[in-house]
Amino acid sequence: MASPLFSLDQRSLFDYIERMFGSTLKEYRNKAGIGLRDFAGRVGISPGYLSDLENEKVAPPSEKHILEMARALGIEKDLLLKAAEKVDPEVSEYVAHEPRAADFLRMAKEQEYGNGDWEKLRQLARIAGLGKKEEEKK
Amino acid sequence: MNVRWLPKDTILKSASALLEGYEKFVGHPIHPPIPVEDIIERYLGLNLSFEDLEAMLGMEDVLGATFVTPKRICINKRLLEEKNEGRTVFTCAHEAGHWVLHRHYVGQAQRSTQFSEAIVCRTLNSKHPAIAAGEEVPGFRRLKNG
Repeated sequence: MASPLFSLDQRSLFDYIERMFGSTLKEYRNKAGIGLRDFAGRVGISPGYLSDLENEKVAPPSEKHILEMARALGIEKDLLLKAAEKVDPEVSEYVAHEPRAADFLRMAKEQEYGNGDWEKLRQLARIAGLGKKEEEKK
Repeated sequence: MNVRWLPKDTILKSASALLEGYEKFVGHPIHPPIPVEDIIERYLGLNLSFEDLEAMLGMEDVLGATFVTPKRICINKRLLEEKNEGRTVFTCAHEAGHWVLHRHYVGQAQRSTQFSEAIVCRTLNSKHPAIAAGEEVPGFRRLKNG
């Protein structure tokens, strides 16, 4: 699975920016065949607010609501989080409790890591046997 | 705007044909409550939204509006606040009816303003029942009371 923080996958940056939260949400809701009022009820928001969100009249909702929406639609939470330019709460919580992770990300930002760098890093981590999974194998 | 009068039977047939088409589209028979919003969004391919229509159109007592060229149906947000589900659903279906039966009457003329191709539906007790095309909202045309 790709990292939820930095994976821009194969799309160009332009496409990525063009894909706003509202239109993304509407597309997945329509795909799921769930009506506006029905969906609003399922995720605990008002239909008027949902309509405003879909038409990009208001800023994307909180992470909590976004996760709720992804669950109701049965889709990967990253699809909506990315469109809203929000970070998975699990990830931000991890970074908040692991200052070295924040330091590392700051360095990556300063060094302007690109997609290739992240992929290389993932491979290096695997080769170096970092983390829990590798230890268990030993 | 001159709209051809349709006998009830013709309207009924049109509604039945729409439902039949939708059943084929979703691949199973449907029963009440009819998923009007899904018919509008997925089957008719229209953009459905809940709006402050009075502010948007600058007139009172608007229930819903159908914009032909942007393929858009707007329902007054206030209907949701009133928790009047029946009226919300009915207005959705009513606007879908305009799309199916009347969209061809609109849009042959000018396409200059945002509301030039709107069919706006208002309550019968509307205080301003007689806004004519081009008067208060330039280029706007009104079909009838909703």
